[in-house]
Amino acid sequence: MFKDITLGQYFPADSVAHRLDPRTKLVLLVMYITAVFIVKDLWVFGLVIAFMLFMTAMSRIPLSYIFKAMKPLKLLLPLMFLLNLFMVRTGTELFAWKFIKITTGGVRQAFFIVLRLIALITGSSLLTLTTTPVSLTEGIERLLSPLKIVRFPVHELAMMMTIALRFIPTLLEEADKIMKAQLARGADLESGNIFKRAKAMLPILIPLFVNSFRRAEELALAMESRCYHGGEGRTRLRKLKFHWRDLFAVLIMGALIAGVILLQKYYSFDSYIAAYVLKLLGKA
Amino acid sequence: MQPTSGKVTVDGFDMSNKKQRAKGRALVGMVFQYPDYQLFDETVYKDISFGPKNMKLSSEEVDRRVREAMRLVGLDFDEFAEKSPFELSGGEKRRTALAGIIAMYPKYLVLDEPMAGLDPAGRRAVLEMISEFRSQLGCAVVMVSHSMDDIARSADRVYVLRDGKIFRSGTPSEIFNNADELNEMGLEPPFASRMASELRRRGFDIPRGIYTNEALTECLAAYGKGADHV
Amino acid sequence: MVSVNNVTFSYENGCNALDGISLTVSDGEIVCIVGHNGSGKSTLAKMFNGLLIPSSGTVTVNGMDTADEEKTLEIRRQVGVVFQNPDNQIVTTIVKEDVAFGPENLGVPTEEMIVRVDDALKAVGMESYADSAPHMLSGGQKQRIAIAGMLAMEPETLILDEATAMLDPMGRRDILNIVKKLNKEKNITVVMITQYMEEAVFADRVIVMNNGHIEMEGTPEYVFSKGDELRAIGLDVPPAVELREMLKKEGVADCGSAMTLEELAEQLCRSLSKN
Repeated sequence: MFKDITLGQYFPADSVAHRLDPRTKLVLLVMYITAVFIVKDLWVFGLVIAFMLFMTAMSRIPLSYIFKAMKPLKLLLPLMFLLNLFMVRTGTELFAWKFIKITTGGVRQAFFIVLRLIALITGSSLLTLTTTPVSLTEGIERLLSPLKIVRFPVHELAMMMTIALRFIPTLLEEADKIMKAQLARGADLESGNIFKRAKAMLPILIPLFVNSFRRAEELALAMESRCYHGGEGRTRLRKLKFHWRDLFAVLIMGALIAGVILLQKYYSFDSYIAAYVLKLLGKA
Repeated sequence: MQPTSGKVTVDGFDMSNKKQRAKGRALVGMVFQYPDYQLFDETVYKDISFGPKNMKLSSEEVDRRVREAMRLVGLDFDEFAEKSPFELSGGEKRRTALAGIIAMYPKYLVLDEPMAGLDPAGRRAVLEMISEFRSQLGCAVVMVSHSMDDIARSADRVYVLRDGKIFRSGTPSEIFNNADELNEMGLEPPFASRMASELRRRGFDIPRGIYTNEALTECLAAYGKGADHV
Repeated sequence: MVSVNNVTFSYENGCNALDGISLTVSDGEIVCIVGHNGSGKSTLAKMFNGLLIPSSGTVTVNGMDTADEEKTLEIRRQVGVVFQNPDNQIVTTIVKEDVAFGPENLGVPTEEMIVRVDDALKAVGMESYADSAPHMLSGGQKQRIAIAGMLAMEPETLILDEATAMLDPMGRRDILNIVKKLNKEKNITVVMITQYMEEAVFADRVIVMNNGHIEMEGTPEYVFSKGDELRAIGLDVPPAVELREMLKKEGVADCGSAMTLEELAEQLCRSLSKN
């Protein structure tokens, strides 16, 4: 039942985005997030959105997969929009009725927050959709490796992530079997109040924990038997290698940030548009 | 677990109907391959009483059943009742898990690979226990196993599943008749039936339907005597 | 060569798991250790590569003492262990990366590692699964991956600690055939710890353990001629021997020391046609 779950929602395809080095992709994500946060002008944000669409096209990920990533936010997004629309009271008043007031600042802020969230989620989903969990872990390990100097356990952290990824499907399957075993003994998991239900989960959680500890012990023995002794002197089966495309991708992303900064410095589209809208409403 | 299509009924209770399912479940006792999936409580006594308690039986009745179940699986009450199930040996854990199901007095006892991972003495003991339940509690036993020798020793009827379909069904002697077919499926027929088929290949006239050492020995004895007369 | 010299081991709760064991495993040999649950055979398995250190006595691998921490890595490279539960010895999410785990720890250069991983996967017949996820494989396939993981470290000795106990008959047959092939073709020494007597038939030597000491030792022919003694300590004989004993007892035929189906059929043919 849990056997076919995919972890980290990797979408196999052959695209430039898939072939980029995972380290590059992590750096790109950081740069992209920076771009998203330095944008102060709603119209310059259009540039970021255009770039986001460009990246999606390059990754050959169907849009439906991006929407899927958005799904958990389907309540949060409208809520954030409305909250900002009504609560932010800066700029000129556009509309007022009893205690409800809409201002230009509110409209801006509402659009901003929603666009930012969408841009961030799309960006990070693109990373996990185009990168296998294994190479992602490896990318993180390599990128953070300078931190070893300050005794940050980079290798151990990566090893933990790998083992977690390896055992999540196994544990889910086990939880499923335990649940069936206890249901067969007449365990009632579905009725009663929250405390009763929490208590009813014990017959499932205890065997799951006990088994996990035993698993961990056996895994440790198996790893030791295979000469595991920490990250020291370890080589890797896969060597990560930078290509020209990695440099190219970073340059393009750099151009985006530069573009955002320059556009914002010399033009302020927002103020033009705001003035125009106000004129239309006859409030100027 | 629910079927994707079709209907499972237990004594007429439709298992896809939520209300009837509970009644159906009460009739079926299910023992899984690993006792670790089931044991959770502080003491063996409490663990075995989990099922009967869920059946809302009186505490005297629960106590009586736990004692009886422990006796049936061969766990000494004074020695084990207050022990933690987690400090038991593998064989003792399996007995405790079995007792937990037996104490519910199931009409049908379903055992999923009950012998897996046990040593020869453990396997013998479990097989003996199962036939004991049958005679003492009168429950029907359904055993899921890929150990054909165990099945040969205990079953009245055998179903062979292949790719989710019932491939063959019949008495053990009907099923184990065709040793080569089972072999091809990756199942290992009982030794005696493999032997019978090997001897047949070597030109011996061994009657079909032999799957126990006893029957084969008897047949070979007759064969030897028959040869003497010629 | 692995030698165990007068080894005693007791767990924290004070019970003696091993009680003065001595044995030697020579290069290229297949040794089978049988015993009931709790006879100490798994404790012994963990002694061979220094996962456990004897309370008294010594275990040496090619002259290296397992108690010497500086030798631990080399000992573990030379002595590979495959454990019972296939799920609990696979570390990563892709088959070939898991096979590479040992060589990675040993610091084998990447180019050589690629060759080793390929060879190891071929040796166990799993080369077409190199990029699969381990949790999608069957138990028998997982154990083959575990064996490949050991082979990639190029060990001299392979210990199988009840490695077939959780497998179905087909998986068990596969593992046995692979092990026999590795012994024959690569001259890998094999120590098999098992509860299935029929697996011991192929060994050069069988060691029977009971309550922490060696109860019996010898060729399979010798050990399995002692059926009653084996049963007395919770063990059994292989099915062919069981039938052989019955045939003899009933006076049907004396089939000598036949231990497999083929041998027994052969002997039966001879003795019955003689009549």
